[in-house]
Amino acid sequence: MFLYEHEGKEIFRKYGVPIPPNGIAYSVEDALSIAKKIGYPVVIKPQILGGRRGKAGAIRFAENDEELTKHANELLSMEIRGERVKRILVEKKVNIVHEYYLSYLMDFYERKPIVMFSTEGGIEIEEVARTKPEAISKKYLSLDYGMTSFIAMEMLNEVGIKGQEARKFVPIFINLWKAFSEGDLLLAEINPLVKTAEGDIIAVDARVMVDDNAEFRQGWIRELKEKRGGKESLEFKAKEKGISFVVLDGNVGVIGNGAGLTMATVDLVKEFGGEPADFLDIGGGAGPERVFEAIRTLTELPNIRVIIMNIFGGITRCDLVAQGIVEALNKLDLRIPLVVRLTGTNEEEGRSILEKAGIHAYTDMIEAVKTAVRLSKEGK
Amino acid sequence: MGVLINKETKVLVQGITGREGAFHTKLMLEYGTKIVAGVTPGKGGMEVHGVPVYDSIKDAMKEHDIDASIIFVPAKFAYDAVMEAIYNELNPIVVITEGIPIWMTLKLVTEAKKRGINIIGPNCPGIIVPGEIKLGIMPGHTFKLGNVAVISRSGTLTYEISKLLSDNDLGQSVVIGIGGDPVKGLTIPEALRLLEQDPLTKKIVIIGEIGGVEEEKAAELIKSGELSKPVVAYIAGKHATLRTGVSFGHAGAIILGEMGRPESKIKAFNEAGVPVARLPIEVINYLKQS
Repeated sequence: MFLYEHEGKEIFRKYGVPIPPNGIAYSVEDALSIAKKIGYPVVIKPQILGGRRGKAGAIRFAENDEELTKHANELLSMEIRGERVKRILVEKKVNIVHEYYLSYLMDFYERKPIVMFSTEGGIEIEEVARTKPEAISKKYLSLDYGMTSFIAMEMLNEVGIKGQEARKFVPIFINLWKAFSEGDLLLAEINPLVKTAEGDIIAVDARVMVDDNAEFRQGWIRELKEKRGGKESLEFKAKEKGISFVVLDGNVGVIGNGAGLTMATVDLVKEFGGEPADFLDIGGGAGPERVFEAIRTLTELPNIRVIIMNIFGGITRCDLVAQGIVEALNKLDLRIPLVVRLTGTNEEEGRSILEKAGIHAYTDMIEAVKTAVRLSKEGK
Repeated sequence: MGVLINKETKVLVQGITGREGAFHTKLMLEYGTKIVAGVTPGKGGMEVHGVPVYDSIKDAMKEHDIDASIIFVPAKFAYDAVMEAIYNELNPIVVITEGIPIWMTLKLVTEAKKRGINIIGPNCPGIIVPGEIKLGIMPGHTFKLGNVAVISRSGTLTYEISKLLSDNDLGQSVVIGIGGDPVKGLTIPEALRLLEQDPLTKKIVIIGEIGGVEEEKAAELIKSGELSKPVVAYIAGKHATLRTGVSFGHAGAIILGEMGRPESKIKAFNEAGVPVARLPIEVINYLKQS
C-alpha cells in the first residue's frame, strides 16, 4: 500500500529523519490554524497517491492568511487525474539551497534491498539515470548489517560530497534505513532531500510503500487503512471479509476465485468489448457466506449493469458457491443479471442447486463472459 | 522421474493439525504422496489421517527418513516453521501460506539459497508430477501425465489451463505453482533452468501475470539460447493497467510506475520468439504448432 505524503513523513519523524513543521488540514479553518502555529511562509500540498502534483499546478505557496484561504479553497475542491483532494498538507516553507535524492527500495527479483543517493534531486531518478548517471550512487545492501556509517560515507564520497558536509547526511541514511527495515517498508523515497540556507538537511517530500502483509506486526498499517475513504474504504471492508477487491470504472462486475483466474476474467471482459467494473477474488476455499458477501459488495458499485461470476472449483466447492449465490438472490434486491460459470469440484451438485433457483450455469468461461458483455450493453 | 520431487520423495507436513493442513494431507495421501510425518508444536503424539504428529522436525526425523516439507502454518508463525525446515535441511520446502511479510520471506530465501535448498512459494498451490506425487493443494484429477511442463504464478488459472491441456491430450511432466508473492523461493527463470535439465519435459507453458520482472528475465534467458525447449506464455492482468499501484489479489500482481506492466512482458516474450496467448485456449494451439 502506498502512503500519503503526510503519513510517510510521520514515519520519517518517528525514526529521526528531519521534516519541516507541518499539519494536515481537511478544511480552510484547519489550514489557517496550522499556519498560525508554524508561521508563514507555508507551502500547501494536496495529499493524493498519484504523485506528479507539481506538473498539475497543485503545489502552492502562501505568505499570509488571505493567500492561504484562497489556495486551500481551490485545492480542496480539486480533482487531480481522477483523484479527489480531501486533505492538504500545510508545511513551513524552507529556504532551499540544493536538492538531493535518497531512497531505499526492495529489488524483488534479486531479493535484496537497494539504496540510491543522488546529488540531483527534485526530478525523477530515472531521468537522472539517463542524463547524468555519475550523479547517482547505488548499492545493494546485505540483510545482515544493512546500512552502516561507512557505506553511507562511501556513497556520499562517490558523488563528490566530502568531509563535514558528508557527515551531516550520514544519520539520515541510517535513520531512513531503520524506518525502511523495521517498518516493513518496500519503498522509502525522499525526493527532494534538501539543504537549507541554514545548513540543515531536511526531507521535504515522502513516497512510502508498506507491505500489507506485515499488518500483524505493524499495528499502524491498520489504523491508516481505517481512516481512508472512497474506493479504498470499500476495498478495505472487503479485505476484512477475506475478499480481494479492486474497484475499476466500468459496468461489468467481475467475481472469480483465485487472483490469476479473476484477472484473466477481467481481461476477457475487455477483450470482448466490455468494461470491467472491478476485480473481486473470493479466494481459495470460499463458503456460501463469502460468496454472498462478494455479490453484496458489488451492489455498492453505482454503475454496474451485470455480474459475471467465474468459478473453477479446486479447493473451492461448486455446491457451496451455488448456495451463496442462491442466498444472495433471495436476500439482496439484485436488479441486474448474474451470469455464472461453474466448473470443477462438486460441479453437478452446484449446477442442480442453481437450476432449482432458475439460474443456468455455463461450463465454458468464454461463452459466459461474452453473454455478460452482451447484457451490459442491452437496455441502455 | 520428476523435477525436484518424485514418487519416492518422503514428505513432512508442517501445520498438519490445522483445518487446511489436515484436509490436504488427506487429499495428498489419496493421490499417492508418501507423507511420513507431520509437525505441529505442542501437538506431538497425535495422529492425522494415520500420519504421526511431532512437536518438532528434529523429533520427527529421529523416527522417519524425511526429504521434503510442505507448510500450511498461518502467516504469523510461518517464518519460524520455514526456518525450522531449512535448519533441518529439508528440500524442497513448499510454502502454501499466504500473507508472509516480504522482509521475512527475504530472510528465509536468503538462508535457503546459502544451503542450496529450494523453497517453492510462498503463497503458492505447490508442485505436482501427475500420477506420481502431489505436494500441494491443486485438484489432482485436473492433471494428466505427459511432456508439457507448466510454470505458474497463479493457482486457479493453472488448474484452468492444465485442464485445457489434459482435455486436449497434452499431458504434463510437472506443474509448478511458484506463487503470487513478489519475493519467492523459485522464480520463473530458475524454474526454466530446472526444466531444461528434465528429460521428461519437451515443451513449457509459462503462466505469468502483471508485476515484477520475472517474465522479462525469463525472456532474456530464452533469447540467450540457454533454453532449448519451446515455450508458450499467457499473461494475466493485461487490463489491470486500469489501476496502478494496487495489488490484484496476489501481493506480487502490482504495477509500480513502469515496472510490472503487461505490455513490457508481452513485448519481451515476443522478442524472444515466445508466442503469448490472448485467450487461455490459444495456449493449446500454440503448443500444437511448436
